[in-house]
Amino acid sequence: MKRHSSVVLALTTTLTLLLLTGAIAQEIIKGKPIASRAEWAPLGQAYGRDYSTSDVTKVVVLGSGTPAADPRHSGISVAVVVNGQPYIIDCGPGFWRNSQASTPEYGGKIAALEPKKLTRLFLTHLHFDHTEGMAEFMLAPWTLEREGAPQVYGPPGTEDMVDHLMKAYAKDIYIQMFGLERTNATGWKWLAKEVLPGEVYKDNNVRITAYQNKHGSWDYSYAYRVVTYKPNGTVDRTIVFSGDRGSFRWYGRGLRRR
Amino acid sequence: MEEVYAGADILFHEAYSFDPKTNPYDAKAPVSVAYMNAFHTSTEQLAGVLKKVNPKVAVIYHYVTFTPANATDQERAVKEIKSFGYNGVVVQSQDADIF
Repeated sequence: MKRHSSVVLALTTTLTLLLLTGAIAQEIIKGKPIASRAEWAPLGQAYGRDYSTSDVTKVVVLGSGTPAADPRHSGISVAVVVNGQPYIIDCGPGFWRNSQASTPEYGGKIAALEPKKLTRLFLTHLHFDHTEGMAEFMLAPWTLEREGAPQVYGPPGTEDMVDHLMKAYAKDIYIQMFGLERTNATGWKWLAKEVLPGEVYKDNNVRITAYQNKHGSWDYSYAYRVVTYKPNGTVDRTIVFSGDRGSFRWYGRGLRRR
Repeated sequence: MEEVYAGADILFHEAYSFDPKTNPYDAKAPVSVAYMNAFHTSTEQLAGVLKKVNPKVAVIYHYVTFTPANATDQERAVKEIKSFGYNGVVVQSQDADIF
């Protein structure tokens, strides 16, 4: 009998505790999500708005943000897709996930952002929030069967940056090629071209021109003007990227970096 | 500088909102007005640029604000640019938007 009552006591205690924990959990859940956040990010509604008006040129925002880890605004990167070929402007940490999120495989509309076509990258300047996605640009599409060589165009310093980056992954590249993965031998062989203001790239789809802009203490920082062409050779769209641009007024003193 | 923007169908431009005198979040931010001016473009400065070049569509990207995301309006930069007198088409971009 005594034993029986202690079991009842234990059960009652457990039940009370469970109810209490439940009540606390309810309190916590009730507070979230906060109203403003729910309004701010209605997934499936706000994600991937389509304002495009051309069938030839689609400009896809892969990262619209800053160094802040804002889930709606990843690190800066934009793809200009022309006649099925993407040209990537800047490669912040938004580049890889959002480029793939924009493909039909993950519910998006832009088939041309499939991994094997990601081979052309243009950097406005070498700040980390514009370049952190480069390891993925170099290696992830290659693992997913890209055979074309990744090409990076950017201001002086670009070649050093890519060279150091690929040295950091030398062992990985070796193992992928000669280990069990047997990844192809070409899709990692990078080319980095340092460009000065002026025309930096031209093919049948685009003509890309760099303009020096003022971005604080950087010696070289560019705006890019991208003219796209229809298959018949006439101009389709002119798209301009400011890059990071400052110096409307140079104070000269009291400059402070984060 | 503005010649690079001339005749653009789509102009992607960075912008910031920063006023440490009136905004308590900006007052606590780890940067100065001098830094912001040297490195970036305010919504007021951008409105001035847009009035000169009149792109068909202006897209704001790399928008810097120190106000937390859950305490601000996702159209804030657009509203500011309009308040500075630019009446053209302006979109404040988010990831995966297509133009």
